[in-house]
Amino acid sequence: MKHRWFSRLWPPLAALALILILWELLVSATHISNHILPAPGAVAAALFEYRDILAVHTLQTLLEAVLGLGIAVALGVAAALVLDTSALVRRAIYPVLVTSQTVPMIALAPLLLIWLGFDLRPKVIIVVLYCFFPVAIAMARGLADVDPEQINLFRSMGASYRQTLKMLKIPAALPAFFSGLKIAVTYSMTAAIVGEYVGAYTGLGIFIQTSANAHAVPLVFAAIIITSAVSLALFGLVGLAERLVVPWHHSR
Amino acid sequence: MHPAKLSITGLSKTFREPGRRHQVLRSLNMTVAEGEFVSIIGPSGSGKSTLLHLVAGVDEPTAGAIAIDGRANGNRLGASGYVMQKPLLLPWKTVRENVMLGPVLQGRPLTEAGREADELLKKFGLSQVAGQYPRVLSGGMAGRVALLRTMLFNKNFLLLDEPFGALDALTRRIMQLWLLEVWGEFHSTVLCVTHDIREAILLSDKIYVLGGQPATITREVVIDLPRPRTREHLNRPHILRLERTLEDALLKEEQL
Repeated sequence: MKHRWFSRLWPPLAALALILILWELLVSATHISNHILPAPGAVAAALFEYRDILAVHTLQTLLEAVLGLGIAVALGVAAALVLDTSALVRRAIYPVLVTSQTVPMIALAPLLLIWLGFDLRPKVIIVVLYCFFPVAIAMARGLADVDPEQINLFRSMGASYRQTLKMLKIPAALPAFFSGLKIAVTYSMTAAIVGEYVGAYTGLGIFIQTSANAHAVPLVFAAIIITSAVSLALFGLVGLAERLVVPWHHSR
Repeated sequence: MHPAKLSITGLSKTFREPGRRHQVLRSLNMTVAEGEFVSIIGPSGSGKSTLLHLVAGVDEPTAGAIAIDGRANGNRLGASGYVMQKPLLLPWKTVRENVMLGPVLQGRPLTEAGREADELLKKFGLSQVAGQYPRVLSGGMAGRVALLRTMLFNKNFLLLDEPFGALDALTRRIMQLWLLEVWGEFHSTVLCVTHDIREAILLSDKIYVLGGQPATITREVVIDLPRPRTREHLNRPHILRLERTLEDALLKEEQL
């Protein structure tokens, strides 16, 4: 077990280490200023020095991301269930959903700020807008892909719509749901940062913006690294949940 | 004579697709008596599965009547136990939970359903796989579990749609004898669709041959063999002749 984890983890870790070493060497060899491209060591120092402030901003962004993701999952699953009720509903709503996804979210952010102010809500809404679509589409696909013969079997046993949904379609759609959730979760932190960029008191987005304005480049890098790390951790949690919830799929 | 479990009169089915009408079944008549084992043989694509769908109530006929226990054109869903071509076991449930599906859908208490499932699994030698998940089962095992799941839902009237179609020849024969054992135990009425003539002869009291485009019953054969049946029965001269006749009939259909 331990051995398998190690054999899966070492190649990406080695690649990462190699990149960091090359980066450090490049910066020291070319004498690039820390205000243009900081070396990994300088970024690490900044991370450590500003850890208290970064923690506050990270927690704020994480809160927005998780709240938005939660709402997006609820709405996405609900939308998928509505899409699944009939072919007519599907034909009516699906194009609307796809079109909604072509709206540039970043243009909506200032509008939401005007409408709702500087508090949590505009950021959460941006996260919902980013994360809703992958969840809804993946879940709808999962529900639509249930073997029609399996549905006929349930019908032949006198199963009601609710029973078929609960005991067949939803469990069968879970693997697809998780693949959608994995995409959504990687969007969530970035989406929260987009929301914060146009106006916020706390959050990694506003931290990145103020740091960049002050030419504190190592701090920008520090915030980027935190964003990636938190996103990866969220992704890992979803993967773990998938293993627990759909073991029959994962062990294949 | 036993009363008819199933009687079908003047049954037709036409599928309407955009710009196309496709008639599959044409004024088909047949009866299955209580406790009888009846097989339907026919070339592939002759509407055998469509016929079972109609009897099970998952689809409605274009014309004609289907009466189960004398009740014509009522709600047939749940009136029969349908075993489809694929085992269609739920991969997230254990064998025992899969077998319990029928009673659970009927809203019966879980403990009762569990007890009945355990009894059935034990009786037919599947207790050792009760706690396992379907993905570890062989094709033959999955087929047995699917049959027991249906038996626990409705052992009175079974519809079998090439239940052993996906299995290798040897496993098929073993499963056929196993099915005879199960059938003998519960005195079920069975309507079985197959394209295997020997299988039909071994299992059935009566065989209907489906043929034509759109398909209807072209021949009705009563199998004159004692029960319990064994494979040796298949070597009797009149049975070998019958097998040959049915094979010729199907070959002629395939060429049409």
